[in-house]
Amino acid sequence: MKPYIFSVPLRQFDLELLPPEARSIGSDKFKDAVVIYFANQYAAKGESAIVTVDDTEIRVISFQKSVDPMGFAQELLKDGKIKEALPFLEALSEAKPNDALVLYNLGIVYSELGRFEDAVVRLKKSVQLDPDYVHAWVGIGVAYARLERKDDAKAALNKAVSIDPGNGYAHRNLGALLAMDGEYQKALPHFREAFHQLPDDPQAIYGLANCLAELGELAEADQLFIDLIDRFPAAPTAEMARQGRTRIAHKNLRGAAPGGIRPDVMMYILGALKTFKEAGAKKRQEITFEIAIKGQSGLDINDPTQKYSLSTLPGKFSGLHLLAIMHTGFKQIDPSMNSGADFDVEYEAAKKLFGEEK
Amino acid sequence: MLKLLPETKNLVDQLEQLSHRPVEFMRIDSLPVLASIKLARNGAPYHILQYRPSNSPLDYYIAQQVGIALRMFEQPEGQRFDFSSDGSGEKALESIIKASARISSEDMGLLPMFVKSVHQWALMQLRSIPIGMRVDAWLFESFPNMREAIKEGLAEQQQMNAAALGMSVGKLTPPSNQFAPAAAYALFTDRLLGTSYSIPFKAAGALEEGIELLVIFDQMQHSSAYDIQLVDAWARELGMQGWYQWIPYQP
Repeated sequence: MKPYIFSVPLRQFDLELLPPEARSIGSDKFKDAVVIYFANQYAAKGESAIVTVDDTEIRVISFQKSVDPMGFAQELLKDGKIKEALPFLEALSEAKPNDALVLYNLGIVYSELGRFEDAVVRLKKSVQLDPDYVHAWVGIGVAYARLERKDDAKAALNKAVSIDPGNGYAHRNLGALLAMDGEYQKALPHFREAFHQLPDDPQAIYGLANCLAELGELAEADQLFIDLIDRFPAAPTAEMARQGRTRIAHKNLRGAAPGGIRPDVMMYILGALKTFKEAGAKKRQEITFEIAIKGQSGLDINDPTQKYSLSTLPGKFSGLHLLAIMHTGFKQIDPSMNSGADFDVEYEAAKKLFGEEK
Repeated sequence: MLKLLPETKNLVDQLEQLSHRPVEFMRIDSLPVLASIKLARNGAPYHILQYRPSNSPLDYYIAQQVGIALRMFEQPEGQRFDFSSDGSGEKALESIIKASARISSEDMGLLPMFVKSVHQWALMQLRSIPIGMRVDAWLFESFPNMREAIKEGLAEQQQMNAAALGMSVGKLTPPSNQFAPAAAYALFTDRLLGTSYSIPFKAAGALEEGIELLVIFDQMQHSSAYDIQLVDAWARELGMQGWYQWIPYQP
């Protein structure tokens, strides 16, 4: 049987159940008598109870003697039942205010529920009680990061790493914080260690791949992105990995182009400028948005085969060609729109050429 | 698609045959309860059984809802009634709450909304708990294969009922006798399963009236023909006469 939790407002408690000298609500005698009352009631049924009394209510967790309420709360957490675990952990933390494990779990639950300040308080109390509690230090780092207190977050994560140099989560989160500040060189060893410790963790794989991509190690990064997409296709990081691959493809394109300008892209854009001028604004919008919709499922810009067609524009197109047309459309419709392609240099060059041709 | 025990499916079939209407299942992720049936009324082509997805088996919840509906459809046409309220109990409830404690001016502003929600909750309990207990006893006795699901479902139900003990808005709390139906249900469950769900209701001073309701429940004939009398008898005990009406069910 699962633990059973309930609360009774103080003024609702039936005072007749307590000895006459303990009927002054809120007094120490009252609190003690309430605890004893519930303990006896559940003991008579062969069960245990954790009872806490504060200024407004009595909170009780009852459970069979064979059940460990902390273990039950951890099972709930393992199943992702964060909200269900919260009342148990709150009651446990009231009953056991100096239990580092309870405080750690409550802190993590608060953090998951977006109550970061509450999380930090519990997690800090947890490390006061157990200064080497590395998971709690990681939790503090994550909560501070979510509060955008990066320096505090880095300090907590560095502390975690110093306690346990092999803690993959500490390295992964520290790497992510450094990367957010553009410190990719400093982040890299942390991501490498995180990946070493957590080879099956999609976030660790993504973190390392992204960091490598930013540092120009494109081949290794791309291989990690591919690996991530293959192994965890449904993970949120898989979509980020697909975007990462696109960025790498763009970098490769740019790198392969002498002088930094891709002439094929420039010619595609020039063609698009001509087409749009002839077709008019409405048609331009239709063409652009049709490509954008097609692009949601991915355009293969590395394959030169003309394998795409549009209902709004006759002909066959390569993925790169469509991307160039879309980029042009976005630039003309609303320059703040992002095509995801780094074609601004080609666009400016094509526009200049287009002006000269006219 | 819902995976249901054959026993649960049979109950759904029985309801479809008795009522001459199919049952449509509708998943609603935000449903406040795990399952709820909306009977076809006024020519509606089907009953709707709403359910909330859960890791726990839904058989008990669905069987209980279908069981309550079956008890109505077991009655001959013309003897089938819907439970209805026009809010006439709200004034009585407001007077009881006002008489039970001094209400601050701050809480006085919250009173109308609080009365409305307690009124609705009290009627829902009055309508569903006594007949639900009849169905629970029948399911437990008749379907041994479903007993684990019943135990799990009752545990969840009792947990929800106990949570209502903490119900308050400002310093306003429901009159203690309104916890009596849930207390009776906890006592009934303890008797059926050997559990200890009634302890919180004893602490909240609601057990005595819960015992009275359970006595009425035990003494009344168990046949579905007496369901309306059972609800009416509980209402008399709770001082809720006139809070609701029985109106003819319009298929």
